[in-house]
Amino acid sequence: MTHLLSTYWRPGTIYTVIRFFLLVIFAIIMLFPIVWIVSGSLKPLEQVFAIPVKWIPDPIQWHNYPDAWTSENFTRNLINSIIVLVAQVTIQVLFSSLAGYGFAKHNFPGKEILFVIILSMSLLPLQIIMIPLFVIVKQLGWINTYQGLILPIAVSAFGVFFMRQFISSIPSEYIDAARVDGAHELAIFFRIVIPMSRPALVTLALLAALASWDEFLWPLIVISDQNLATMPLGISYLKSLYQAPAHWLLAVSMVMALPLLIIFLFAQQRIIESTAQTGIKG
Amino acid sequence: MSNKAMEQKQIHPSQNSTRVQKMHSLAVLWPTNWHYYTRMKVIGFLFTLPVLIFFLTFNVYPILSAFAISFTEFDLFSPMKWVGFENYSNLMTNRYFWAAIRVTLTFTLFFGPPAWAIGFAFASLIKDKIFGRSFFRSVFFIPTILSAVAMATAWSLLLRQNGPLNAILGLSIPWLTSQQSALWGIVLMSVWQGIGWFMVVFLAGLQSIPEAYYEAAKIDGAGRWQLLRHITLPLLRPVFAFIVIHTIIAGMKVFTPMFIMTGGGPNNATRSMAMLIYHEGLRDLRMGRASAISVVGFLLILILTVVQLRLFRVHEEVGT
Repeated sequence: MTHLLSTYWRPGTIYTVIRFFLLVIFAIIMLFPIVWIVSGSLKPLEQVFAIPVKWIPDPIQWHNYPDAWTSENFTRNLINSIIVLVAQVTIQVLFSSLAGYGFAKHNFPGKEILFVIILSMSLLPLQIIMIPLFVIVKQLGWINTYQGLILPIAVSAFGVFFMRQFISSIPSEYIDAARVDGAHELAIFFRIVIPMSRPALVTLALLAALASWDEFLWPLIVISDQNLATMPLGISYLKSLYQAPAHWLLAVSMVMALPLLIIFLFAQQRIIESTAQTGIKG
Repeated sequence: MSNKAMEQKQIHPSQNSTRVQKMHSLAVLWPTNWHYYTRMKVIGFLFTLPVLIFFLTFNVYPILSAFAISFTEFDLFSPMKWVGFENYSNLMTNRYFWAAIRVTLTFTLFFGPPAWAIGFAFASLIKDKIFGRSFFRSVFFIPTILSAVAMATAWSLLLRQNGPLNAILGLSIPWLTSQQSALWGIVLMSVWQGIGWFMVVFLAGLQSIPEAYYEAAKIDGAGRWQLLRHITLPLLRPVFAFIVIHTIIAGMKVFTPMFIMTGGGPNNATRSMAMLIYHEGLRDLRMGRASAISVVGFLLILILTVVQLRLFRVHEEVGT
């Protein structure tokens, strides 16, 4: 704030001060639900809905977290979520970059049409195709299996588009030089394209991880076996119980939200930039 | 074939001048290159093949079978029965379908424009240098990044009649439990979660407008309002188009908040189109009718996709 006050009074200054105070007010409004959730997750149950709102829990009840965690099989849910996340991120990153390389640096008949078809899938939401997709997965015998949970939503059109754009920007000279030296195409892919695309791969992996962690609809459709349920299903199950304790619900919501918050704080710039460029998240 | 010969086959003549000299005769040049090009085409296609298989199996085929299933009566267990256009004509008179359309439209209209306006306002406020700029940007974006499932769960407590929102505002609205206000509760949470995304997109748009335009207009005596009206808004037109498409799709997708916060109730007052598809198909096992709704949704997406692809082309020409 010092540099604000130390600048001499010019017509822009008053506007800057007003702007700053507006931002503070808006920030408080936007943060109010989060602060309430955090504080509620640490309160004794009878304080959660106390009026006036008690912002600082007294006493701070840390054991809400282990209590909520063991009330349902959340350890199992977490393991499942991690398995699905690792598998989906790997598939998304590997297959998108393979296809991205094919579309960016190769020529074959029908390439443009295939690319446009894939691109046109980028707006198609799961919500529209969930019924036939469920029927297909059922015919494959994949209901209540990991492959059913992982594969149908593993690859996104966005990933392919994103990798193609990035790989196009790699100078073809590197690739041609390797071809002249007799390098195998797969070797070129793994030794040149992949290392040179690292920033894009990290961004794509992050976005895929965020999406996978929070995916709710698809697991809801394919999984009815509690042993295969992911975190979002676990939370919605706890929520659906009659009179689920509010402080537990808030605690598991925090557990669900915290990894996303941590990833965001570490990779803000990357996430915000890719959101601005491509508008994937939301 | 020796290793040496293999190597020679892969060489593109234009990329290697020392070897081009050796290839003086067309008769030698042609077959070698033909093999090379054909092989490169096949290899290029193979790189895209895994993704193509994924899209054919899990996107294209489902769309086609949605059309097929929509002409049948199918409950997953007994064999499909062909019923022609019955599912579609049924939709036209089905009050649940129209109720879901109304919910979806209301949600879209009251989620979109307020979230755009607030996102735009936030973006304008942090566009220029200000103390704590990146802090504010993070704070406004955090609700977007936090889990939709977790936030829906937490907001269903926040919006209780005896909950903190009512307590702070001094109200006593039964946000999620009355037919009149349930949708507004969901809209309120969605706006809160959506603002950050719109802000970031608007911010990128605003920052792409050269400062010189504003300077020039100010010299000509333009005021704040005129700058907004005649420079900012017209130059953001592509951003607006993008945002409108995104919002319409968000409306067609909205499912999680309804499922978790209200279950579509009370009395179907918050049952969106996506949720109706889920109920018809996976709860009541009327796959035919659910698919007919999907097809209607798909046709709308198709129109939007064409618009979006046009925009993409414009973007690529501009070079963004």
